[in-house]
Amino acid sequence: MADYREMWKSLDMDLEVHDQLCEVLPGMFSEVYLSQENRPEAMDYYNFVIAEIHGVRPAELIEHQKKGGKVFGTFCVYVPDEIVFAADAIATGLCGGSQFWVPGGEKVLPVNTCPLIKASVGARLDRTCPFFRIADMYVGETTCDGKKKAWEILGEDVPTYVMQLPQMKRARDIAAWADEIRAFKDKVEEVTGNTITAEKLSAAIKLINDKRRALARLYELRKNEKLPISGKDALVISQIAFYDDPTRFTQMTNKLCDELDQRVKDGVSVFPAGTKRILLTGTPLAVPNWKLHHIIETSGGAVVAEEMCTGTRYFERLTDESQTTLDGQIDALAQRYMGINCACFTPNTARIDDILRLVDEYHADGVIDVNLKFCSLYDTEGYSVERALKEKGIPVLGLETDYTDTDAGQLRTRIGAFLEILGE
Amino acid sequence: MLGYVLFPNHTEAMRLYERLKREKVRCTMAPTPRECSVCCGVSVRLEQVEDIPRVEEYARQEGVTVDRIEQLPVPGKSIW
Repeated sequence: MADYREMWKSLDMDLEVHDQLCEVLPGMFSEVYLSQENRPEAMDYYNFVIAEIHGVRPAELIEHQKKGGKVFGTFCVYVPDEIVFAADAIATGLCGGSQFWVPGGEKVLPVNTCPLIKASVGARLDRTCPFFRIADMYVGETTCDGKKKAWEILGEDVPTYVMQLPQMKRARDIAAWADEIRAFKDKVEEVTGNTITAEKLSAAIKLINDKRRALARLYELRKNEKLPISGKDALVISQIAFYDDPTRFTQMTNKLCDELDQRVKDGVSVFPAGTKRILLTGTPLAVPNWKLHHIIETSGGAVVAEEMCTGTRYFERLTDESQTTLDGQIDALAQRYMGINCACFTPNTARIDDILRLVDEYHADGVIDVNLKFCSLYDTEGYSVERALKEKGIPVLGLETDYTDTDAGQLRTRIGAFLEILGE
Repeated sequence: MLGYVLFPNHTEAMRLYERLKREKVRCTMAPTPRECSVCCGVSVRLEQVEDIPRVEEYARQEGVTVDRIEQLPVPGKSIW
């Protein structure tokens, strides 16, 4: 078995505590994922990525650094990865999705902070995740209050650059975001020592668009009446998209989609007839947060789409590839990214439009609105989301959860009851 | 029972996996169970332990280095 302990030691990780995560992750993945029947064969690639989650990709990033390259850690789908890749650097998503890291975050953050932020801070400060140790610079954003103040604390431990995301979407706000991207470009050039040219940015835009196209293709297949892939499998793919090599990820996801195309032709379904189709909406589900999908899909439901950062908000809408000047490309990036409908914006009625559209496109029987505890943005917006769904006669269940396992029984009861009433 | 083929690195795992797939051996890439190793890493999980002898032969033919093959019960239900 590959021994990454020397690599982890060189990253000044706390091996003893990290070992506790290594102890539970294999079993958790096997119980949740490998227990599924008739998984697409191409999912073996994603099994491999999770099995080697703290090995292969971190080793690739370190190799990149040894050749003089830089790694930027990001926490939000608004941060334009294209700028990083255009400077021959690598962007890697860093959001923490496990309770394992939360206590570390709670040493410095209020307990009533969302678990995603606490886990992200804890992973760094407790030195228990190689990705958090490898990144040369973190890129934060002013999406929510919790994050804004967390960057101040993290910034004392690791170089952190914060992008000011506007709070509204007027024309002047989109122009302001374009200016923020220009400033980010200057910073990336300074850190990497590489100049971002229009040609390199054009290539990076296509690189990231290709990844989005692959994910869009995967999601399109989930619109079928007979589902060729489970929501759980689609979720882990979306989670891996944040940190895997973009070219390899795109290739392997397209390979999976080729297999799924054949499954659709052959009428293969991984769920029995009558399984209730669920659209999930709300706060993101960072790896390895598989709890809700697992409960839904072992209770008689199938998750057909996620209107989340780990879902449609990540890949819907491409960046315009026709621009040939840096200014034009940056404006195109600003337009594309400001089209993401996160609850940190006001107003955010376009998100409700998205949810209603997705219910229709994915033939959802019902919607589950998921909120990470202490996320006041999505929690408050949940009122408008759920009201809009009820007005359209679309069944909706609002759930609040965190990263612990203690609410699993209660969630299963509520989700089970919700699934039962669907289609009545 | 399931079989877990353990390797010194992921490259050997991929090589044997590709051969087993060509030979239609029922297998998946899987995180190495904690009972088998003290480190994270990938193993090839055999759905039928009866395939172990032919897997060993394929590994020999391909020159794949295998640490060992362990047999473990099918994992239980998730705590969620």
